Amino acid sequence: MTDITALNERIQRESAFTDLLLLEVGKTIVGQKTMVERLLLGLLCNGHILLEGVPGLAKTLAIKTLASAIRAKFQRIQFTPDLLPADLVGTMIYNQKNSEFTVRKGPIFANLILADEINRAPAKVQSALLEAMQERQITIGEETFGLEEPFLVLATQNPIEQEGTYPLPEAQVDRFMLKVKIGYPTREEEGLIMRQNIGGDVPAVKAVVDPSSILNARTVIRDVYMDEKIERYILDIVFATREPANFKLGKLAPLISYGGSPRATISLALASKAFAFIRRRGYVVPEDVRAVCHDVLRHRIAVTYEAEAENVTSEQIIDDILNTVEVP
Amino acid sequence: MVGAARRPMLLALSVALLLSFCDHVAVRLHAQEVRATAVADTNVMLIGEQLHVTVSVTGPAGIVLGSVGPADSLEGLEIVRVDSAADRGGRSTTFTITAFDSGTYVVPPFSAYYRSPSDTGVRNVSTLPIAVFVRGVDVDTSGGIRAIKPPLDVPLTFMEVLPWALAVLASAALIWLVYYTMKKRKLGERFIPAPPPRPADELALEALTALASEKLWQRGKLKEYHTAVSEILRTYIENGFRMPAMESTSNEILRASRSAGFGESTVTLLAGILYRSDLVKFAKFVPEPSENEKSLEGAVSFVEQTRAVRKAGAERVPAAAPLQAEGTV
Repeated sequence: MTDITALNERIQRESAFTDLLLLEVGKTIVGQKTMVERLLLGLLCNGHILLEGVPGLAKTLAIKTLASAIRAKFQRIQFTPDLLPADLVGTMIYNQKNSEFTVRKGPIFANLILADEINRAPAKVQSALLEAMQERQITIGEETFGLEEPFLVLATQNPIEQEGTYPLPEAQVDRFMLKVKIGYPTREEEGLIMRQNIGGDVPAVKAVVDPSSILNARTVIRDVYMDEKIERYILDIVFATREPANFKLGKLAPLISYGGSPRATISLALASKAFAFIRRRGYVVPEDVRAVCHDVLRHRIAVTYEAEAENVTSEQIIDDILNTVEVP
Repeated sequence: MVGAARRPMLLALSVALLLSFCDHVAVRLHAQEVRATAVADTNVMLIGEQLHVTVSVTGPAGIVLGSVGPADSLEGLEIVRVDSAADRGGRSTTFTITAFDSGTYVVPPFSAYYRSPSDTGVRNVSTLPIAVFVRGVDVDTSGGIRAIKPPLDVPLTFMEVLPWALAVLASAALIWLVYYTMKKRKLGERFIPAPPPRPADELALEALTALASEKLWQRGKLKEYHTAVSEILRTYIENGFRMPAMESTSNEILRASRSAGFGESTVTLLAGILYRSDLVKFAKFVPEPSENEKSLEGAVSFVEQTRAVRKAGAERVPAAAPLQAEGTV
């Protein structure tokens, strides 16, 4: 009891900055609470985020604002079909003065990266980015450089205009911890956005958190208590994506090509802990699991042709699973 | 002088007599000749058709005739039947011949052995050979190329059909037997109607009473106790109000309870129980003994308060829609 009370108090103390951060970002970003919260979740879990939404939904602004609020370096890379891996990671430049090669680091050397329209670049560029995401280091020539922490890649995909794109392979999509879908703001929110932009009274973002606070929070999050009932619940959800018939979801079996990987289980557990942390709790409740479940699983469940023919998406499959698997 | 004059006349007369005798002998000899003739009813036939060759052997009376047969091999031809008939002064033998390939064939000469009464030697007489043309079936090339006809099916025999017929009969008998047995059993049984389902509130109160008697929290089984209280209430809500409470979180149940028309005080009472239960289940929270009592009393109170709502509008309570998890788009 004392342990959990102490942990709860510690979490409440350590997580205080999240409210401050969300408040500061909220000054610039109207609405899009889910997106901003998921960005923070990615930062806290040391995971990367795949963002899907039509253009003009403040994706760039959100990550730029977040970078400013945590005093981190931000870079935006527009992915195009003629982009080369060297444009991303950097290259060796010959210095005529010294008659030697020197390293010129690419834009990936930043804390927060916005890889805009990642599916417009060919596979070798995507691969270079995904490798950097995984390894957190870059090798240029014979020298290896570690990427500075926190390192968060926010890749965007445009759901429309799929002509001439290079869709990310499933194995690489799995490397993104979360896939967040952004919708349009509400009428009231859009009215506020309109007034704010026309009036030119967009408040300047101040740095409210140090990157070190984020790194510290990452260790605290791992201490958030997760009961074995919650662990079983997470396993039930992930296993229901693989063996739906075992969870009274036989109707989903022909619709799922393959379900969540063990990486999905790890991500779901970690994201649930981080969500509890943002909610300033020292323990995970089923609400936390359900809150992040869609973002963790939607890109990890591959639907069959039959599902596509019936317009069944992975979203609906997750809804069915959440509405069938018993909550502890 | 007279004798000399008559000498040429006698010579001429002698020659005339000799020639006359020779002519007579020749006629006699010709009348006694053995002859054999072969006559075919046709010289052109279709492949597989039959040809009849009649061999007739004629000769003087008293002639002894042997059998008639082909003098040589019948290449490409086949004798399928031989009919023989004897008559006065001869014999007629009909050979039925066929061919199974097209082309021109030669029916070889037929020969017969005989012995004339005036002769002790055996002699032979032969017919002339006969040419026969066997033609194939004309192919109609104007109709285009068609597939080869499949082999004709052999008609089913009774013995082949018999096992299947027996199997069908046996299956029919088995089905009838099962039907008959079930009918007999049904007739023999008394009709006992299924008991009506017990009300959800009755079951919930019964379960809560049983839980109290188990004294779980008094024995230190706090987690089990609060899990049981929560499950009893969720089962009650699910069965009594058709909400998917077993698959919902505490907040989702509370939101759905408000939508279902529960009073605010009832929802607050439920929230207290569910949140306390969540803390025990997921956060190792150890409540005071009074709080444990409060959970059970609150649960009983909740069931009693909502019983009226359930009875009044069980039909009016719509089936709850699938609940939306927090934070999803």
